[in-house]
Amino acid sequence: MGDVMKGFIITGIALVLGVIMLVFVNYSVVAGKVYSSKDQALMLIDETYNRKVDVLRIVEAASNDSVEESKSASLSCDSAVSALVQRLDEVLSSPLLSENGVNTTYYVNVVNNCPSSFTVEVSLNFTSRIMKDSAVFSKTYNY
Amino acid sequence: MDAAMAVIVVLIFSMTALLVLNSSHDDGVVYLSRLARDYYEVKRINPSADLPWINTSCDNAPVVVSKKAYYYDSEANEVKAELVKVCGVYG
Repeated sequence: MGDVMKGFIITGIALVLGVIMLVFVNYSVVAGKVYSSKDQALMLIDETYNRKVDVLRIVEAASNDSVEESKSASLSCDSAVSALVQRLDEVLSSPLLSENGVNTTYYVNVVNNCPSSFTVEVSLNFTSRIMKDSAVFSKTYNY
Repeated sequence: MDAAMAVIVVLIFSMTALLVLNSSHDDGVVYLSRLARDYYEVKRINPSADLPWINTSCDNAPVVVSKKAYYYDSEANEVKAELVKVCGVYG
């Protein structure tokens, strides 16, 4: 077999492999099997924003729930504050809130004006590979 | 040398095709991701709401996006995740 023929065969194999790769990669992108880095960045921004909305709702629901339970159990105002802080710690330490590349950290502070009222403040920080975001939840409960 | 040239030419074609395909793909995935969120939000407020324009039956769909929504279960006192899956032809 001459060198020219060898060259044609090698070129042909390379072309066939290249076309197979082209078809496979394009199919993967179009079918959503793989995402480009730009896709991933946009999705992560979406993910972080959605996590923020979810966590704010979770904090409000857990706070309201805890205060209602304390009132039902006729706990003192100070005990209600302790129960609320414990409840928020339990809920916010859920590993679910830091999955999928969005790390969530929190800090709970209570302004205690017992026996009439108290204000709960939760500072939240969201960190992903490409962005940082924060939110503050604050609500005053009359007791 | 011929083979190397052939590989380079094929790579140039591949990259060009990928760039063209990616530019239209970006919006589709993010659009579906937001649609999944909308679906969760509406269903959360009204569980019996009918949303025929959002496709959640994803058999053989070309593009499927799954998104987790987190909520507080007061009875169990824990955070739970709900997986929302939507699909479409946006590619």
